[in-house]
Amino acid sequence: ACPHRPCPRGAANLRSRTGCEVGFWFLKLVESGEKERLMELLRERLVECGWRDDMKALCRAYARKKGRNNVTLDDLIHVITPKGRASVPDAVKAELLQRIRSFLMSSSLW
Amino acid sequence: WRTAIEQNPSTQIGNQAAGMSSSNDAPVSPRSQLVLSCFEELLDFAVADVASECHRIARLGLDRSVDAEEEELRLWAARVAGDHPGAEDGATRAAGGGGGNKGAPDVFGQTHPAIAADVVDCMNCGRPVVAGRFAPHLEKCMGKGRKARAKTTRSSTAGRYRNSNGNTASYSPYS
Repeated sequence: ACPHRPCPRGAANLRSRTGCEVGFWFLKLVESGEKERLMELLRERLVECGWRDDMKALCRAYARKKGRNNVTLDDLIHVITPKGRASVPDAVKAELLQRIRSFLMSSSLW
Repeated sequence: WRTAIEQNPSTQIGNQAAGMSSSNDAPVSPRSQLVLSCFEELLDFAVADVASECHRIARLGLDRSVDAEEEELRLWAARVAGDHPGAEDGATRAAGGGGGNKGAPDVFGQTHPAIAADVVDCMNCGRPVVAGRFAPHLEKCMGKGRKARAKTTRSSTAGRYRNSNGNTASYSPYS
């Protein structure tokens, strides 16, 4: 287990839920530092649109129901993932997709 | 890895690429699929990030004090917003909280307007100024403002106000 930051499911083998191997390209994103920039952008947009607050509210409600000392990180990830994925605003998603696409296109291997 | 992508049938994920194509029936190209998958990985990180923060808050029992603080901030903001039109009656808006209540009665039972209304004479230019607006007046009056420095000549301020880049640095004794 990573002591600093939990690794999300799927990141270990870098294979997306669709089954296709994004490993190679995701590694490119990471190596170039673009992943960090994209994460910053995504985080900022998700804060602005209230997504982060919505997720925190879900977590708080769950923690109150289950008892705050009984809550595990896995629980919380499971609780917010479906809603989290579904409630990203289209504009935010489009912006990130565009950025990712531009980056990959600028790579000579694309 | 290319063959791995081409073998994958279009799944329902393809329909979620709403930002890319408007038709639900149009198949998503392998490259768009890849771009989408990268986005999903990023989103997973974002989800784990917020879950991690909430987990910490829950386990440390911080959510109570966070709520109480937010509540107090909201009360304070509402009070200040109510004071801005210049209303002087603070008695009806008195609410619990620490010092710094504007318009609420003080320990002697006196209420004061949020913006002090007394008029004083500026010791720099000699003009009468409303006390509540004295600090901003003094800033301009003593030459902090970029636009308000009409009185000073260039020669006297060149060395004082410009930094090595040649940009005007604002000089404020109150900062």
